[in-house]
This record gives sequence, structure tokens and C-alpha cells, in this order.
Amino acid sequence: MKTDGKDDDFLERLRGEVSSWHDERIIDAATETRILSRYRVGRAPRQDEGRLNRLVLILSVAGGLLAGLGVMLTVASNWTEMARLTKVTLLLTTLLAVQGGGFWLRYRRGMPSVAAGVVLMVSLIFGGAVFLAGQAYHVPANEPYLYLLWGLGSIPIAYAAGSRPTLILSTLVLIAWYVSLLGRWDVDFISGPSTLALFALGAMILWAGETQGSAERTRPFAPVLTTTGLIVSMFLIFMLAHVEIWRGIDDPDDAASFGNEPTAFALSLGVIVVSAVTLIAAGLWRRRDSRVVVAQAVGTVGAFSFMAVMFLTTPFSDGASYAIMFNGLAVAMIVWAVVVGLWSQREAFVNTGLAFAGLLILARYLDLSFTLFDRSLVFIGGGLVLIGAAYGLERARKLLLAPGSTEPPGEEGHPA
Amino acid sequence: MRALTRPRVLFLVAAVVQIVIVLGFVGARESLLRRGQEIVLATVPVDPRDLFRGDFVVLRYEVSSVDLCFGSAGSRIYVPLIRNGDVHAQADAERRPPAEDLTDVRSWHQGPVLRGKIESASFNPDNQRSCQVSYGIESYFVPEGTGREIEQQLGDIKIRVTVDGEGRAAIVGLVHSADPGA
Repeated sequence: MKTDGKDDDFLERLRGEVSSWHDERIIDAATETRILSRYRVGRAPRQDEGRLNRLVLILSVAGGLLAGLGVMLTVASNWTEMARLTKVTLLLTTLLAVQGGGFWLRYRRGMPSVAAGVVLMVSLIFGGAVFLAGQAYHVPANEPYLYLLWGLGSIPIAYAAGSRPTLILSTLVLIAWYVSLLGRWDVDFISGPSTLALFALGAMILWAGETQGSAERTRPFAPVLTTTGLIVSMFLIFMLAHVEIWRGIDDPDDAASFGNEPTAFALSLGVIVVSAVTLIAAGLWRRRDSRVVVAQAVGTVGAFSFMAVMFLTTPFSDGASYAIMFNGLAVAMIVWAVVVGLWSQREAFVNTGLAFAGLLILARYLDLSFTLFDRSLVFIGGGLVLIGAAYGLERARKLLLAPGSTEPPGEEGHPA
Repeated sequence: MRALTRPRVLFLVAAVVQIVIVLGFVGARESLLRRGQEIVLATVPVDPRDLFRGDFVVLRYEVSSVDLCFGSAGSRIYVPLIRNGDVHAQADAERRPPAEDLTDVRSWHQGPVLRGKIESASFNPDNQRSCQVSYGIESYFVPEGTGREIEQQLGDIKIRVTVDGEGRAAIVGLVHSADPGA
């Protein structure tokens, strides 16, 4: 059948699908070959080849990171002898050359794994270009909008080139933008508003992943966003489960900062409500399992509400009470993540939930043990606790995921 | 020649977006430098321990400390400036106070205005409220290894700045005290 090269995405998806049909013994090797030859497509790599591809991807991403960082360091060395516009021209030329290299590797040479590393390098060089342009005009390096420009400029090329490493970089840069924006609003790093704002950001990234998981074209990127959002949200709750965070709560001056930043709080509330509505609407529209959609919305909005009540009403006068409450919330979130993962048959939720369970067990063990044992015994015990926790968690994960075993088809699709 | 398929077109569009962002950023800064009114601001010495972060100098100006300001930390402020000898300084705060709204300032001051953000507020010895304000011109990038020389001259050197009608400012360059134009 003629495709005239019209739809590279379709052909790559077809190749992946036909390969999985073969692996699941729905079709035999001869049928696989016949189908693929009809579309003039090569066979998808088998398991060994897949390992090789992963190695190529790791090497190219590491190469892209190193070369991109090298270019950023070079441009950061402030060439004062050079006129501003000459610097900008040089940067744009470099950026264009690397973009061209990525295009050539991806579409002319058909090397998506190598291209993924080069596209990551494109994004690093693009970030370098933004920051050097800022430096040429004496714009302070901590200006939030520099991070915003970097993140917004990197996302389109991540999707266009199918580069998940670049999407991870873009997401991290946008998180850095949000954190620097909170600093610009003069919000203390550990205070009610900044914690709520960061939790809302995590929920928004998680829901962006969930919404993208509903569309076939964006589904391969969904796990990146879902996992990042989960980690950001759960890490915040994990941090709040430490009594040290709450040391200042019984000091009236410090306590006043827990809930006095209306901009950050209002924005967080807006983000969480809009994201929840979007998630539910997208879920209903795509007719996803309604109990998963509801569980996700209730879990994240519920955790946000719990935190908001704690920060706004400050019901306790001692840090230990807050730490106990947030340990309870952390356990609830872990159970929530595992249950959502089981219902939706996704390892990302189960793995993240169990990883945080391990972290929480270790943290509480260290809290208790340092006051009771010699340090060497603490480390021996800690190591054994970790190994035991890892064994238990891995066993639990296997038992939980055994029936389906199971990222949904397409999640590990064609993007590198 | 191969056809431009949809993924290829998307890649090219994404690449163009990056170029446009860099050019747009550079264009906005160039426009500010070319169209703004040029003024000179006096610097004040800075605690040397806070002076360097990499290869740039942290600058503070006389106008970084603003008298009679009533905003809270993090909020925007417009500071009217008048010429005072060879530099620009804050206008008499009793007659032309700073304000959170540019329109208010413009109703009593037609000269240059700096737009800034209040970093902190305190009371001066006369029991008047004053604020520490940043204007986005507090970093001056220098060639590697030359920062210490500039550090020793802070207080004597001045900074040439361009400021547009909205109060946005950008650094043009250093003015040394020995400079006849300073």
C-alpha cells in the first residue's frame, strides 16, 4: 500500500503495534513481515535490539547533556570583546546548526534515539542562548521570565521530535521558573503559600499527563508528566512530615508567615480547581474509568484542601502535631497512589507510591533510632530496614501488578 | 526532494519558535536601549561578601533606598527621579512621593520614573517608612577576573541606564568618575 511517506507517526505506531501482536502471538512472523512490507516499513526491534536501542538512547542523551552543558559554559564565559549582536548571531547560528543536526538524524537518517540526545542538546543550547542574551543585556540570572522562556521554547520541540528527555528537561525548567517566581513574590521557601503553590503545580503536571494520556498522539508523553507531577506533590507532603520543618510554628512571628501571601494562595487555588475540572471533563469526554478519574480528583483536591486548612487555620501550637498530621497525609497519599495505580493498571503510580513508602519508613526509622542507638548500629539497622523494605515493596508490587502486568499499550510507544 | 510530512513540519515550527523567542527577547531589550531616556545613577558600596556570584557585580544605587514608600514587600513601585548634579536621584518625596500606580506618579511628575519591586521596608531615624527597592538593573556582567577592580570602585563609579516611559530600565554601561561626561 502506498503511504507516500505522509504519516511517519502512523508508520512508527504500526511497526510497534505489529511487533506487539507478534510478541503476544496474535500473528506469526510471516504475517508480520507481510503486513510491514505492504507499508514498506522495517520490522520493529526485538528484545535484544531494544536493549541496544536503550543503550544508544542513554549514550546520546548523556552526549547531548555533556555537549549542551559545554556550550552553555562557553557562552557563560562572557565575551566582552564581542559586540552584543555578534554574540546573539553566534548563538543563533549554533542553535540553528544543532537543530538542523537533530532534524537530519530524526527524519533523514531515521535515528530517533540519537536524535533524542541531539534534541536535548538543542534545548540546552536554546536555554544557553536565552541566558546569554540576558547576560549581554545585564538581565539578572535569577529573573523568572528567563526560565519561562526556556521552558516554553523547549516544550514544542520535545513533542515535535518525540524526545521524552527534552520534555523532562522542559518540565524541570518550568518548575524552576515557578520556584523563582515564588521567590520574586517574597514567599518564604517553606511556608504555607509556597507549599500549596508547589503542590498545585505538581497536581497540574500530573493532570496534564493524565489528560495527555487520553489522546493517542500525546499518550507516549503522558508517563513523563504523570510521574513528575506525582513526585513533586508527594515529595512536598513527605517534607512536611518532618518535625524540623515545623520548628518555627510556635514562634508568633514565624507563624504569621504561614498563610499570609494572597497571590500565591489564590493562584494555587485557581490552578487546582481549573486542573480538577479539566481532568474530570477530559476523563468524561474520553469515557475513561470514572472511578479512576474521581479518585484522582478527590485525592489531589482533598490533599490540597487538607494542607490549606492546616496552613490557614494553624490549629496546633507545636510542630510535632503538624508532623503527625502530615505523616498521616503521606500514608494516605501512598495508599491513594497505589490504589489509583491498580485501578488504572499503571506502574508509574504504584512504583511512585511504594518508593515514597520506603522513604517514609526510612525517615521515621532514622528519627527514632538516632536518639536510641549508637550511630553504627543505626546504619546497620537502616541498611537492613532498607533491604527489607525493598524486598517487601518489590514483592508487593509484583503481587499487585501480576494480573495485568501492565502499562497500557502505547505508553512505551515510539518516542525516544 | 523529500516531502515535508506533518512531523517534519512540526519539528521545523518548533525550531522556528525557539529562534523567534530569542530574537523577540533581544528585540525587546534593544528597543528599550534605543528608545529609552538615558540617565546616570550613582552606586553605593555593597557588602563585599555578597558582591560576586559568578562573573557579575551586584549593584546597589542611591535610589535603591526609597523614602516615603507605603507598599508591602513584593509589590510594585514607581519612583520619580530628578537630576541632581551629574546623576539622577529620587525626587523630593514630600512633594513627589513614589506610588504603586504609574498614573498617580505621572499626575505630578513628567520626568524619568523607575519601575521597581519593594524588597523590604523599614523605618528610618526620622521615623519615616523607607523601602529597599530593586529595578532589575542590579547585575552587571564583567569579564572574568575583573570584578574585584570594579568592587573597589563602587561608590565612585556610576551606571548609565536607559529608562522608557513605563519605567522599565536597562543598563547601558559603566561611567567612571574620571570620565569627563560623568
